[in-house]
Amino acid sequence: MLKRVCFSFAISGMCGLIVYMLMEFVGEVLLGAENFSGLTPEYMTYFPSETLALGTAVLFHGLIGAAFCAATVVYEKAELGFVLQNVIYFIVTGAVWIPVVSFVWQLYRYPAAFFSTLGGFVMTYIIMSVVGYNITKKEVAQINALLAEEN
Amino acid sequence: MRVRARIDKGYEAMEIQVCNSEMNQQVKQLVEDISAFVNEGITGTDERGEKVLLPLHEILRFYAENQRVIAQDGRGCYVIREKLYELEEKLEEGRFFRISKSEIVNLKKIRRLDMSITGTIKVILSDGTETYTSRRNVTKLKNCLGIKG
Repeated sequence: MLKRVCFSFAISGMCGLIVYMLMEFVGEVLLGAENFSGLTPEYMTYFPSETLALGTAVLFHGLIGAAFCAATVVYEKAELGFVLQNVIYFIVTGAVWIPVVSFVWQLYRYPAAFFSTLGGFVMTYIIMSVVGYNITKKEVAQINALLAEEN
Repeated sequence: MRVRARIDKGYEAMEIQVCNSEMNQQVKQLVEDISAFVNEGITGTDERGEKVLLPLHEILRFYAENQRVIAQDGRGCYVIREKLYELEEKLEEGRFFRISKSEIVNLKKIRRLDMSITGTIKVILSDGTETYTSRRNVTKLKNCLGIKG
């Protein structure tokens, strides 16, 4: 599990870095904007240099990836049921990504943006849970039909 | 091929006979297959510390508990030496299925699955033992049983 968590940390961090670099490329080369950055100006004020701000943001991306990976351990506790598993997963991962995105994107300064981001995430979770529930219910019925036939 | 059960008080233990007019490859193969199926077993230690040979087809499940691996059949529970991952490799696919990180069940001993409103998926075995599996293992179980769609 530790290996997987470390791997997720590295992959998420790298993905974050690639996205920031791509954004800078698109902004500066394709759109011609000067000093274009994927980071918010308010966030950058916390750091003495853009490199340090970017490095910290990349580490935060890694942290989010690691949290999402580590929290999957809840899905191994089958007796909880997947509705509760999803709730726990949301709480645990949310405890990491909400503060991180609030800080990196400075969402705490914009309540409307914060709540729409949170709302979108919650809705995605609810939809995923409902779809997953229905698929599993169908699969359980198919298995039971076969078992009844065999017995 | 006719398969029948013959009940007679004269038999002291269960016996399987393959009858044919001559000995041929089919008879040999059948005897070998039945013998492997019936006598294939695993050694366990019962609660009195005695070694017992447990026929695989009688085992309900293998599960990990307090750093030990337990084999359960209709008569009781036995501690076995193998780890779950070793059993998973050793046991024939299609006869046993890993329903969770800590448990392997005999597919022939699953009576039914019960899913609650909260998404808890109970696996009910032939002796009434109840255990749990996760959503992703339900999909794997379905595939293992050869259910399509």
